[in-house]
Amino acid sequence: MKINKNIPKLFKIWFVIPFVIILIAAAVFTGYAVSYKDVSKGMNIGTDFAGGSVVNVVLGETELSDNDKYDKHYDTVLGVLQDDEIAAQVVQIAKEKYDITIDASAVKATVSYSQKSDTGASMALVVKYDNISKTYDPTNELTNERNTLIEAKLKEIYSAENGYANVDVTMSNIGATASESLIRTAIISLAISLAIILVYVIIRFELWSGLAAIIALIHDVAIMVALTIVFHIQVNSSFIAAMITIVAYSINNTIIIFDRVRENNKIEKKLNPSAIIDNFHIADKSTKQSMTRTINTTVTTMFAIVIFAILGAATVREFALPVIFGLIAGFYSSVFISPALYALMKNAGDKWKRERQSKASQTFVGQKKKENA
Amino acid sequence: MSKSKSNTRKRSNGTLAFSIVVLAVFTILIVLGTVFAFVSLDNGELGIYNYNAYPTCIKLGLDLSGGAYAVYEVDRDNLPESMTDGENDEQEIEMAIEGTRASLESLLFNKGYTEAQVSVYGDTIRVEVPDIDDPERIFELIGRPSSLEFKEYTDSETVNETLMTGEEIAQTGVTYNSETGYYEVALKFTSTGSDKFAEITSDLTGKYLGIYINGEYVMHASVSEAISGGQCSISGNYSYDDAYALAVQIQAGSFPLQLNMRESSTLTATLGDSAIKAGVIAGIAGLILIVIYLVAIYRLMGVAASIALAYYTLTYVFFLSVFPWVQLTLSGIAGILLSMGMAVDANVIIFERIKEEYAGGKRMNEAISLGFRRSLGAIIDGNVTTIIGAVVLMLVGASTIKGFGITLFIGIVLSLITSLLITRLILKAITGFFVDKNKVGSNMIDPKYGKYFALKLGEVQDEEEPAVEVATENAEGGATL
Repeated sequence: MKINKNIPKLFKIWFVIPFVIILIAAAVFTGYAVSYKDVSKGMNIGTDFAGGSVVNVVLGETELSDNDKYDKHYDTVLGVLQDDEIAAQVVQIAKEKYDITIDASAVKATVSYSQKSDTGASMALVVKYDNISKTYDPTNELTNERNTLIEAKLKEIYSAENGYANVDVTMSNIGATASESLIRTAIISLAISLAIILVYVIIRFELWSGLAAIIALIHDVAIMVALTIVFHIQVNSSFIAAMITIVAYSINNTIIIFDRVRENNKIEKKLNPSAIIDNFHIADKSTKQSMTRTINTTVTTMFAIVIFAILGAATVREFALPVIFGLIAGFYSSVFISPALYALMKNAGDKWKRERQSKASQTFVGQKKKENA
Repeated sequence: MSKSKSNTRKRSNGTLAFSIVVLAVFTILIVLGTVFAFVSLDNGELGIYNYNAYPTCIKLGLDLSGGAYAVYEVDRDNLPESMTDGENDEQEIEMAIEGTRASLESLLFNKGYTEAQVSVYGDTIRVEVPDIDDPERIFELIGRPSSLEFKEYTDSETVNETLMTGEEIAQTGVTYNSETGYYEVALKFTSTGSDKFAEITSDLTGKYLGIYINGEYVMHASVSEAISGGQCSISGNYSYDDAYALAVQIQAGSFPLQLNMRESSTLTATLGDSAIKAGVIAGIAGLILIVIYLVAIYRLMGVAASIALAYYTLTYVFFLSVFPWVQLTLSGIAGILLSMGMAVDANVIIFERIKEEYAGGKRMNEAISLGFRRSLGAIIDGNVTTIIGAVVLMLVGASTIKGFGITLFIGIVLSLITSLLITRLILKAITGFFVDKNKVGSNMIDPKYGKYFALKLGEVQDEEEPAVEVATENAEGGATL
């Protein structure tokens, strides 16, 4: 591959693209928020963070261990959760009792997962779904009203008249499993890692490499979040793991290129000790020298995770897609963002240093002259 | 330089034998690793004990294997005094619930259940523990949450005022006293607890200290001196089981609130087999694609990296199955899949470097050893930054993030070992088949085989200043050799 242009010098183009993506994400976020009339719906937040409700339908092992029967019951519950009549009733209750205007689409429940609980005759179908957004329903009162309607409807369906005996339907609320403290410690540990990585890179390389590497990492995470918003992928606690994974792996790409920069700087200094180093040239040369490696590693890392995303169910994709976004963002930032940032900052730094040196030598010369006089 | 030459001569006679032995050893290891990964043996077969394929021993999280859950409710009738005095009661209760949640989480983490989930809704605390199929096991793990108090013990009739509660206990454990031959329960207090306990024991010297759980008398011990330092042990001629039971009971009493269990049951996986199957297929297919890709680009060097990769994958899975604190979830599977791609990264860096050195005019052997040496700095720096991330996650993160950090850490260390040491060993073994037969007693690779290693002469990347580049590289090389 032969690229004749100096890649970092085209930084104006490279820096615009991430901003465009973030702008699109902001637009999509606003779009969803407006259509649901609810800010918290701008991003698709799962029940891990927001908590939710659980419905338990005790149907017994005979009804649930068979996959077809299980699917049938699951569809029944799903039908009730998304029932138009119930939604309309909830909208009305909201208006009359709580003086809240809410859209029917915002009260219909979205299922996060289903599973089975207990064994034998008491085996139950468990379906977890989201609550009505806190923006409308901060105390969960409306959610509880909705759940009562859902419970009544399910009891009606699974009643003795319909040929079901002893089918127990219970509802309960469930808190956020990804607690605030989990998110807090995740953010704290990310911040600490970034700080230590910054110090390490500054010690092993130079100040500008460290700053550029950290900015590139922040870029990767930002793009990952932005694309997750754009595609309205549901965010659960596994998203935190995905973010950490990307930060951990993405730093590698940048370091490899900066290692080349370090080496090329050494060679350059040996050849022309007095010449002013063209940092854009060094950054470009280093990026191109590492290009094959950057591409190869990105490709090998992509293989398995892309297959996983294709084969896996929706929940698998929820995790795999953000990771794939992150890998692409990591490739982009290490080739197009961090070398350019490095060259820009280093040029400015070098210029400042030269000016200070020339000033210092001037005053030094001035002093000498005075002494001589 | 002279040192490495003499080494070369000594080894040269056995070059071919060395190559065959190394390749045979790794082939056998990989075949055995693969067989044991997929085959389980039942009791009696081949006359050995039960053997389960080691990947099936990897502990799984709630999403992949299900588990058991219990829902506890705060006992509003038995609140500590400070929460019923009418001052910020609700706020204090809320904080106490959060404190209980946090101590339940850390307790489960310490028992290896990194993926256990504890969630709070109003007055209820829901505990979900993965990979167990009996809700009773939850109580074995966290005890039956209760409140613990230290009081002065005078006789079985009198109940004295509470001196200290279980909240001040940071940790409990079982220790063995070799002098008495019995087990003891070791208590470690929080920093405020240490001071309080020292004060209490100094007041009670010569008297008895009683332990009460849920308001009921459990045991008493004589206090012989003031205990400072924040640690003490309760000795009472216990067997291991008795000591363990008491330790769990005390630990459970260290929750700030008294909890009543409302319900408990088992849960099936939310993702389960299909996700695991997708993960295994993606892993195998991804591995094959990586191998094809590496061999297509780097030929025999790619073969060496592929063997090392197979070795890495099997070892990684093996380590995950034996390490505590590893509970695989969906994100864990994805982490393994990514790590396979990253594991060959170091090799890609090295091979690119070897190609460059060879193109710059080095002989093959020299190019290979220079390639390994000159990429070392970049590889170490790149991986140290990732290791920093993993270690911080292990130390700072909350339970599930901690577990993730551990998995990441094992992966990076293993991949460094395989890509730096094992690939090099295998590459050396492979080059052993291509020595220049005209030069007897040397292990120099015949240049005509260069194409087998995807090495081409004169493919210098930077066309602006190739001559200078080669000259400085030589100068550098001379200095380091």
